[in-house]
Amino acid sequence: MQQKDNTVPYVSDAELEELETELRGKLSKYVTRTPTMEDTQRLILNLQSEFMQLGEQDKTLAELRSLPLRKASLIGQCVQQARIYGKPFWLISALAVGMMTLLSSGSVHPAYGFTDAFSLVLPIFLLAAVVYTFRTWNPEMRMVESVTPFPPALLLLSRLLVVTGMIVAFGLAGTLFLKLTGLTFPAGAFLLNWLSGVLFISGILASLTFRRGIRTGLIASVIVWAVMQGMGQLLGRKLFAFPWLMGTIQLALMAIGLVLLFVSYRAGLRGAWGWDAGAPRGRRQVG
Amino acid sequence: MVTDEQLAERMAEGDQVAFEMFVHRYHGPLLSYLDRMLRNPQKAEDFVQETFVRLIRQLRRGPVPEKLKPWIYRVAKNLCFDYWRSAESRSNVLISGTLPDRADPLSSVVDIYERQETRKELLQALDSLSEAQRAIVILRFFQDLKLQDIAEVMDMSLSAVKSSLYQSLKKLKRRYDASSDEPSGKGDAAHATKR
Repeated sequence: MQQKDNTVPYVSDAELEELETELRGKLSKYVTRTPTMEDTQRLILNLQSEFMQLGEQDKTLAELRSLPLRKASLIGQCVQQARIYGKPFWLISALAVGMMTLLSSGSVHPAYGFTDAFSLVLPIFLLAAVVYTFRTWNPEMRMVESVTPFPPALLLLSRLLVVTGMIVAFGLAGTLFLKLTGLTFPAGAFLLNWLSGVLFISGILASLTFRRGIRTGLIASVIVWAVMQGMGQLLGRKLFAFPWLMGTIQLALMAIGLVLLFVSYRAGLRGAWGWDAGAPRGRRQVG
Repeated sequence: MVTDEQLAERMAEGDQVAFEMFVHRYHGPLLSYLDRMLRNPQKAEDFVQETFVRLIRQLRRGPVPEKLKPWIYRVAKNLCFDYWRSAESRSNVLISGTLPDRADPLSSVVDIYERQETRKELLQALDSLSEAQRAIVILRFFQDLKLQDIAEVMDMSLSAVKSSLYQSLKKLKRRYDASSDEPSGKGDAAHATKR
């Protein structure tokens, strides 16, 4: 289709054709050399090494394509990621939760919202652990991740799940320890107290990190934690006589947290938040 | 006939036959184009090779260009333009006018002389054009490219190509008209020798 350009003078096709016909004879006298078969063969030889690289690359891709893809599972990925942290991380975490358990052994007040030591410390401990894992989200690590068949968004989620799982496991161990030491307290209410806080903040963090980035996720999580502490004290006093209502609120928060984690997992599967590694989408299989 | 794009697709898959067919198909046209553009046989050969190398690298990096012919000529043209802007080009003396055709044992000395004279005249006429105008004329008359393809090679609008080609041809025609009015001493001498 002919393009209109107002900046150049209009030339009719007939005028141009006439001029072309007139000059064609004269210009046709300008002949140049024609390469011989030998010249072309030499050129092909010179280009061969460059072309071979193209062939090699294609062969490698074809070989890779023919390899059966192992179905990557989220649990398997979590186990792999858990190995990345190393012993010092687990040891320090265990010591921190152990000390917290010992210090709080005399002051467990589950009825007062989220104000017990577990509810205060464990969510912050979760955020600190996430900040620690943030160092591995550097460009080099992203490069490694980009060649794995596992979507990077799910890789990040698996790390958050590992950290959340660790906090929950240590919290459960601490709760069990308190119960075994003979302390009298409603274990179910106490568990719900800190577990709802940890899971809600973990869900908020997962959801916002994948949608808005790690900074927004962390800032929002800290704000949520502070609000929960403030509101918890207030609600704890107001709802002292209605433990079932407090329990319902905490169950709802826990459910919201779990739903947000699940939604993050589903969105990570679809790669819908722009964490695509560049590999063909149809080749990804995630369990 | 297998299209350029189909050949390139097969090349991208590592097909040796397609690769050789493609080189055979474009070696001549590219060499003549670069010979006319550069008037430096060695440089022209180097740039032919470089154009093919760039195509292979393009196939390695991404998809086959949608319109392969204009794409190839654009690469070649850009190589020429870059070369002309380089210091190497300025330090090289242009080899003009005396570029030999393929040896023709049947040509007489006079025929060769006349051909050289015509060639010299033609080259001088082409030299009166700008680099872009010269490229357009060469692509149109010697490479038989459609105006739309030339527009893509030159990265210009179709009307700009038409206008540029028209201006170039008018300039060439004026030169030819002027030279045919002048008595050609050398030409006469040659004819005298022939007679």
